[in-house]
Amino acid sequence: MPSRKRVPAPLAWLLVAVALLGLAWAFLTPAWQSPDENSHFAYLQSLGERFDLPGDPERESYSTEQWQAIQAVNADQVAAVLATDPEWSEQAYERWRKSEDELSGPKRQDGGGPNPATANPPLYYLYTSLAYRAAASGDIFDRILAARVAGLVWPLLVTLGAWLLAGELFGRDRTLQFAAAALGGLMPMTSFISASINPDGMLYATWTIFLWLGVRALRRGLDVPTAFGLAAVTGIALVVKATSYALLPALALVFGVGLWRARRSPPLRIAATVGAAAAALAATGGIWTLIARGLNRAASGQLATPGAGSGLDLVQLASYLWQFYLPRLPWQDPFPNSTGLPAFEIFVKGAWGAFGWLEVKLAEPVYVALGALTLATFVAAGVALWRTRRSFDWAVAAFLALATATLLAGLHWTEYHFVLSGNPNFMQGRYLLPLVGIGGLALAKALTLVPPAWRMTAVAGIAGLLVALQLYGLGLVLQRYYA
Amino acid sequence: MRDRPELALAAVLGLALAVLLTVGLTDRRDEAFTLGVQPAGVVELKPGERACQEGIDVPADFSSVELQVGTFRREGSPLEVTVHERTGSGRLLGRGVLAGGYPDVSRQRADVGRVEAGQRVAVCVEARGPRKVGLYGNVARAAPGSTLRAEGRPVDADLTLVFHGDERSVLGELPDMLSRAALFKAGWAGAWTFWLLTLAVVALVPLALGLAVRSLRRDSGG
Repeated sequence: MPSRKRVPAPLAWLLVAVALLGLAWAFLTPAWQSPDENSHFAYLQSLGERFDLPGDPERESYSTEQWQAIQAVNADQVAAVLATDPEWSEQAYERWRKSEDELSGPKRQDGGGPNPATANPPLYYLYTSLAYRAAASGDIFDRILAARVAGLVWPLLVTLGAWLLAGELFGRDRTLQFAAAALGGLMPMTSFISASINPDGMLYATWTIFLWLGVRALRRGLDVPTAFGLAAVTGIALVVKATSYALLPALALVFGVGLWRARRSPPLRIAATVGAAAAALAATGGIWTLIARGLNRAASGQLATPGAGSGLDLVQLASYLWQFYLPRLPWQDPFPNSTGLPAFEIFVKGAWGAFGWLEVKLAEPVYVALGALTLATFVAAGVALWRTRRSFDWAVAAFLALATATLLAGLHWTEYHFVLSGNPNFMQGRYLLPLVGIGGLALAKALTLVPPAWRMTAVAGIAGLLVALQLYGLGLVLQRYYA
Repeated sequence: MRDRPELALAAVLGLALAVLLTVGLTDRRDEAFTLGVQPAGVVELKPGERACQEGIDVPADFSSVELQVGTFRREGSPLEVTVHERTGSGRLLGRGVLAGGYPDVSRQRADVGRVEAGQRVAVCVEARGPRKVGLYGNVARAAPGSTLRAEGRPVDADLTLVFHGDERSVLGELPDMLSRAALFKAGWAGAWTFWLLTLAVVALVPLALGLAVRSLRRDSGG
């Protein structure tokens, strides 16, 4: 009798820890105190109440119900302003409670106007609107919590995806798989963002699964189920956020290599592989493109937003990139986004931990230590790769590098144009987190330099550090909003 | 050592919890609550004039009121700060005097006596000296639900007010913090929910990780 496949115990316990931490973030963060959660909630409510996309210029951005609740908790004044606390008064809560009870159904439905999230594709919001509907009998804060809790599936999928991704490259080495998965699931920012109403959490999950399936296809061959899964997850990611267009070159690479390697296979099998992928893409991104055309809206509005009309100055672009990662040289004109070193100020700080509307920060020395550890991990991973260069899988390396480079290129291209048009605040550290699976791989590879007898101890220490960072972040949020 | 990974995990988490506890015990503060108004402009008060910020909910006991005052580059003039029930004409709940001589654009505190939580109050500031003062605040919507009146007339502004009470450690304030966290959350959630979550985060998460590491060691035959 074939044995049933069971979830490995280390992974199962890790998932329990990830879920509990996600739950803590979902409860603790005050409503609308994470980046753009007010806009994301308005989008979600428009779908959940009216089954219609937001963006109608004739309508209000937020429903009456949302406005009242935002005012009751003083959310707009609190956002990004450390000195301002949310409303603590029970009397204020009771007054709001009374006004909420008096609200009629239409006051939940009179939003749907334009807001900064309107340009996003709808899949994340459709998914969370199921949770919203399930909590429809509750008040607005019940529905916010329901939508947040629904998002806890994303860090779980990131953890699972990182585990599987590491498994493809390191075999059944549970210690290295655990290290990669722990980084993906326990980074405070993945928990915080996934436990907020924000499509980025779903982006991290879809990208991590994409990376796993891509590596799987390159390692094991492009069979029909993998081709279907890879294309489907790409299509799903495209309907989550326009950022996912950065996956297309890596997808093309997998199919190019996979089909080249399978060129001597029966034509029918190749046709089935291509057909499955095309069907999966059509059933996800294709359908949304058709719907968007029918509704006369851009399938991915964000792609059209930056840089309209601004030309390309290669020297200036190179100067911008230099100043992002390296100290400015005396003859370079400063870019308005570069206070300090943006790679540190934005990427390191924003990816490791900046909560609320990014105003809740870790202590500066902690960021310095985290930046140094991150750099050391990538350097160590490079050394380990060099040592194993004879067994180097160039196709996998090219795939991972292409996914990374395309995301970074897209982000920098967008920011460069935003900066030129006078808006220097585009780039965010959390935009790197779709690549957290690759970060997990780098950590696992770096750990191969540790003697085997000490490797598990090192992994346990790293997992402990990640949970310590989570406790620190949760403590800061508790103190910032409620002390 | 067979249990080395579990010990490493326990050591790191134990250290982290010890640091958090130490900070929680040593970080002491006396801020009771604030009106949440960022100072961005001033409301001018001529000698003898009075401004009252009305309809302030009191979520925690306080005994002094902090305000930001401008003196127009001269020596600060004395101010009387009073606390009343609901409006500036309500029953007097507390009174304090801010002596003159304070510097321009400075934060000043007036002790007003203990005012208990659960009330709606007004905080009034009266210029008692020979020179005008500027009370810092922001536009009226900065503190929704509360209104500013100067000489009885509504003003399109709210004052920057911070209320202080007994000094407590962050850890000593934890029960209050968890009660506050429960407000404006799911209707069924209460402080108990946040106590359970605290327990989950400081006990169950480390336990789950410990079990993960132990099964990892067993998987690899350690």
